[in-house]
Amino acid sequence: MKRLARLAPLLAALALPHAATAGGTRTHTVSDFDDFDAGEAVGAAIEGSGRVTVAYLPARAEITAASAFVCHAAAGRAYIGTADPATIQVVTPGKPGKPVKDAKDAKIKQQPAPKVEQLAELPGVVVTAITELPGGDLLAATLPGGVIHRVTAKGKVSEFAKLDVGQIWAITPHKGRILVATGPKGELYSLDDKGGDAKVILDSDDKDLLSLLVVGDAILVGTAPGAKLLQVTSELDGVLLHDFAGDELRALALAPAGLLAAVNEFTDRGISSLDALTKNLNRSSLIGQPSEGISDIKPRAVKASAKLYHVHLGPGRDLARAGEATWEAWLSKDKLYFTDIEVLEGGAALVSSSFDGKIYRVRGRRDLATVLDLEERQATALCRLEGGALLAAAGDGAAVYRLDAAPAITATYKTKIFDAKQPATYGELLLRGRGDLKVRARVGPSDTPDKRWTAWSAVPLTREPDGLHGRLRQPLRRYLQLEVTVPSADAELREIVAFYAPENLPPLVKSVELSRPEVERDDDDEPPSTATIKWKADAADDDELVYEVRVRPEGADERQWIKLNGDAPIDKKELKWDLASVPDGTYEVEVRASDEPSNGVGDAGVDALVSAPFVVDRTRPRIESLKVSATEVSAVARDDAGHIHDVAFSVDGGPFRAASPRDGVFDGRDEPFTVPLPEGLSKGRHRLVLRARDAFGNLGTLAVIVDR
Amino acid sequence: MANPAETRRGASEEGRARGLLAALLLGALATDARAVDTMPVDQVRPGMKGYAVTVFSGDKTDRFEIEVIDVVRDYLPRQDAILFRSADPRMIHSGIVGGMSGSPIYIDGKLVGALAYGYRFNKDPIGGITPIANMLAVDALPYRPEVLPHTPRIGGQARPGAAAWADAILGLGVTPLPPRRRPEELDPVGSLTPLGAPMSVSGFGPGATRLLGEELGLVPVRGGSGRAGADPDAAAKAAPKRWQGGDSVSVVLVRGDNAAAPNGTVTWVGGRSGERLLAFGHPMFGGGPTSVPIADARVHVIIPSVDRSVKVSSPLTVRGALIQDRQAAIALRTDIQAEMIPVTTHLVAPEPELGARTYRSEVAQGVDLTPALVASLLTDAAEEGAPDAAAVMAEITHIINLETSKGPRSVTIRDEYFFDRGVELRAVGRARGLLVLRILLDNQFEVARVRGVEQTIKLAYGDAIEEIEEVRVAQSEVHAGDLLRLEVWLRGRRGERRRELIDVRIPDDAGDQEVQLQVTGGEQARPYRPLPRSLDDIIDTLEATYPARSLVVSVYREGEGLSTQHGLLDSLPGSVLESLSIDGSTRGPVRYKQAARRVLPTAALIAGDHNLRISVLPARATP
Repeated sequence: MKRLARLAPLLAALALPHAATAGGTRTHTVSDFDDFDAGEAVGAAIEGSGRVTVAYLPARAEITAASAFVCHAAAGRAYIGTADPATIQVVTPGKPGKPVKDAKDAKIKQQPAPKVEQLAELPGVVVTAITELPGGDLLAATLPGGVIHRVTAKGKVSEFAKLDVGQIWAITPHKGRILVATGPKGELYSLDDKGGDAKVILDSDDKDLLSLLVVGDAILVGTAPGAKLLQVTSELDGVLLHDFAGDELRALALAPAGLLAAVNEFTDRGISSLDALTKNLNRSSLIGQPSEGISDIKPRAVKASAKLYHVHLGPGRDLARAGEATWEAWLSKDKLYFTDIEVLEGGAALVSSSFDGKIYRVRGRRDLATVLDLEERQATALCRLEGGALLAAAGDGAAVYRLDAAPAITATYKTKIFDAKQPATYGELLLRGRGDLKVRARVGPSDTPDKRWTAWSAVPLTREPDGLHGRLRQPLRRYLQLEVTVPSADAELREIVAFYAPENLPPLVKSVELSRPEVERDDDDEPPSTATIKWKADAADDDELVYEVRVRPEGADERQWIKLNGDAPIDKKELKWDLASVPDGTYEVEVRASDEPSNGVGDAGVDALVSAPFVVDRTRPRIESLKVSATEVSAVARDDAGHIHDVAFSVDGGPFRAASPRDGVFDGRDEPFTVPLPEGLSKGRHRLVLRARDAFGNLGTLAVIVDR
Repeated sequence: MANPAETRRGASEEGRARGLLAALLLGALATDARAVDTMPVDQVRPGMKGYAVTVFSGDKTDRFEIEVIDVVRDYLPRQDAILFRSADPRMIHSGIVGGMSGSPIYIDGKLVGALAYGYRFNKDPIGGITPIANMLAVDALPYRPEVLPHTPRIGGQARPGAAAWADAILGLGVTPLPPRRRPEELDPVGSLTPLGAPMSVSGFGPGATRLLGEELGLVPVRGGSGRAGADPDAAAKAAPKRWQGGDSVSVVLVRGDNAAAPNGTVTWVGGRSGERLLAFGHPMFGGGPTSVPIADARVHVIIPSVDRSVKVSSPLTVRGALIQDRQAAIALRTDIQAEMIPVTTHLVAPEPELGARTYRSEVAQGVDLTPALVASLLTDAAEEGAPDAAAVMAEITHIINLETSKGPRSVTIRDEYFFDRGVELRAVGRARGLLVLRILLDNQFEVARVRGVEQTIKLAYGDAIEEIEEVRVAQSEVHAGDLLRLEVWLRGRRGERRRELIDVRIPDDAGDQEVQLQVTGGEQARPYRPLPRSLDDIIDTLEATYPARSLVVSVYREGEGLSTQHGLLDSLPGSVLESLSIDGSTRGPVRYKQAARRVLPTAALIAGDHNLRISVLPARATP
């Protein structure tokens, strides 16, 4: 086969590299909540409608631990429980300051960070629960084990109680006693304020009581792995209020009109990693962890999904409605799990999540927003101090944030990294929104910005009736990121449309084949004259392809091509062709593929491939040199285009029987053969039909009268 | 050419005269190292003549003449070698002799260095001298009692340190092949090689002797008695030794019922009261700071050999300690005593008539040295107990008394082996108790002080071992909460099959999950253990094993737990598991698959590891 080179596009590309090779126009669009939520916001809220508006400017303080896990609010301060080491940190948020602009670059100065001091270090891996006793001492539990520690204001640690449980997930005071939610037997304990008189007041079927909420006199618990909401009653097994679809009811909160429940579901992990994990555990249990390590700190999407449910309890907070009224899913997210809920004074609820440190604000089914995007990979806990200060604890890089230190006076929103799949020419940028939005853009060759990326460059915008327009004058690069500044509280960003044309990759025709019906010896008819031309082609860049198919006698000049696909290109990868439409001879077929539908006539890439030569033979073979005797008939089967495939004979209209070539093999254009007359043939006149078939299935016959 | 007899006589007479002079000279020099008159290598010229001092027999030094052939510059890093030839008939007959390492060589009455190198299979007595300046540099190095020497020449491990013993104890990356050959073994003829210290061994059988030699990289010489030196009273009563250059000296690695003591020659004596010695002119193991006893030695005879002649010697009385083991010399101190570790080895032989036997020895201290020496004692007992090729079971118990920073404790390790064609000594030498000994001395937390080792090998003819042939689940559907009946088919060595029925409870909450059932022997399964925070944690992990004669049935779940330094966190809710699995750190808890186990005692060792994956259906509806 030979490949036809197409030089014209190449020459054009050399003359006008960008314009000439630009492919079809496409757009990167950010318009709805999920689109916007894929990016990063600082001081911005991403509303459920897809609007980006100004929101909190968080003030951050670092904690020396691997992760902050739990937060307990007290008067004027909060206590954060950490993991590795298991410590209790005292956080005093301070008073909100005034937002300040830096004179030089007009960036917001960070507000004073909350003050963090370590109160105590406890034995164990992680502090899982904290509460405060009336006298000011803290009770805290750590993993693993069932010990509740008492921690004084000066950080002195003593054992408050020891329960026969594996884990303690929540502790809260209730009517002068201490409630302790535990695992793995799913028991809720009640202790007196000295840590004694331990009673199990709920013994659930589930493993872990992961969340605990006191509503007036009522006690609610959320379980894992059943994700059930139970109410404590005088019966030891309580009352099932609701059985959620999921694996754990991680957090419960009381909203103004109802109850909120954060439910997580984890995709089964499978056991394919068993051997590797077991080997790793066995080794690390002997030699600890290796002195060398590697960590992939890209945000890791866990195999989980999370839902925030709300049930309306009515004006009297009728908890019975939690068992019969509809739980509405207010917020659903995939690839993350929720960690905590905190209800704000106005009734909105904040929900912290595991992925990318995002915190969502929810007011109802349709009123939701991403209000914070922490630097750390997880937002692990929320707590609201008396007086309104709101804190968020961050995990996997421990920190605490004061969220309501001050509202931001501007917000910035960075899009996710857009991928054009190929180096692309960027064009018009359209922003829809309100206010004096500013845009910067950068491009690069990798899916993570690094030093190969261009610096941020401002994109001048002009206001037109349909929005703000600008021109992305970026070099030809595959990846693009945009940053939009929302300058004031009354401004908003609703949509981003960035036009681009990826560099076109020409298609590739990989093979062209002509197939026709198989010729069988026992066929009594000639095969149909239709052949099928099939080809394989690859667009390389997902472009839509069309094809032209033409045929010519082998070696003929360009003018002798005969188009087979009619007036318009075809988009299928095969074509039926009637071989009877051309004279017998040797031909070749060319298939030309073009990505014109995706790129337009001027920029289309073309590739063509010519098939191997093939023979068209519609002429029937002849039977000549006939000699007839009383016992046999001999003749020569002859074909002009190919070899003789087989010869058969029929006596007196009977079935055809195969004849043998004289030289033992049917392999030539001339095949002498002899047909002995059947021995049992009666005397008299008989009709004999000789039939020769060539390699293409053409049949030639000759009738002979034989006298016996 | 002179008549050999005349030459020998002449040399002997001259030797006596010069020996007297040298004794006087060395006696004087022994009180102050700086008074030794030495000749720098730069002044050494081809053709210079001198003599070497060594012990040919008994404990008296003698001389033989040498003539400098040439000086090889930078033979070793910053160390020249002086080539010499000896015309002494004894040397012509025997060649350069292993055990002469360290023999001082004098030219013009000045100490030039130590005889240290030779050619194997040499036809002429040509050797190499380590210059005295290089050796004196070793004398300047301090005694470091806090350092437990790590001798890379011992063991031949594929990976260093903790990774190596972890591989061995977990059965990863270990090979039954002998250690790789060391470079000096690959081309023994083509270059000067250290003479090495012929290691006199006694009380060891041939197999254990060969393994000990291979392990230590020393040439064992059977026949030297090693009982002397083991009796502390005898050592106390022994007359003080006044060391001089040319004296025979042994390094005591093992003493007692078994003994091993590499032997060489003292080159130089210094210090205010002759308490500082230099010997060998080459390293023993090259372990640097060391603390191993030394003893004076008696040379029984020199065994001439085409390959390399060696001195057959016996250590006499412990006289001090080897404190530095370096390229140019070993440094010895007579005013320092090195501790040894008592090792008691009990043998219960398969033939009851042989009765139980107990051997008491002491071994030298070293990260690699101690386990290798203790192993040699165990392999020796194994060899003695069952030298034949019959199928045999070996039950090995180690009780190791030690001290960590948390105080004294005792570690007991038991394991059991089956050998179908007689005891394989090399496998016995890798018994788990010996690996544990290595771990105690080489881990990332601290070096344990090993106070004593008691090891027992019980041998019994037989083949109490069964192989798991098949594991079958009869039920076509398995629901959460079901009691699953496993048919485990076991096959003995003689082909007899038997069936064991084991009921396993599928967890109630395993519905719609895949579980993996593993049936294996107690040796192949390990209990889950938390990450260690101390050596004591590692010891706890090492002691936590399943009996060798048991079937362990595990049900592995999809759910994961975390192993932390504070313990195992089992059955964690998903969000807690994920929150505690730190992504942004190179360290953190280690995940594991939750498992439930049943351990069933068996009458035989169990071999094989069978796994079944089962898709569990939801729990059956309660009627």
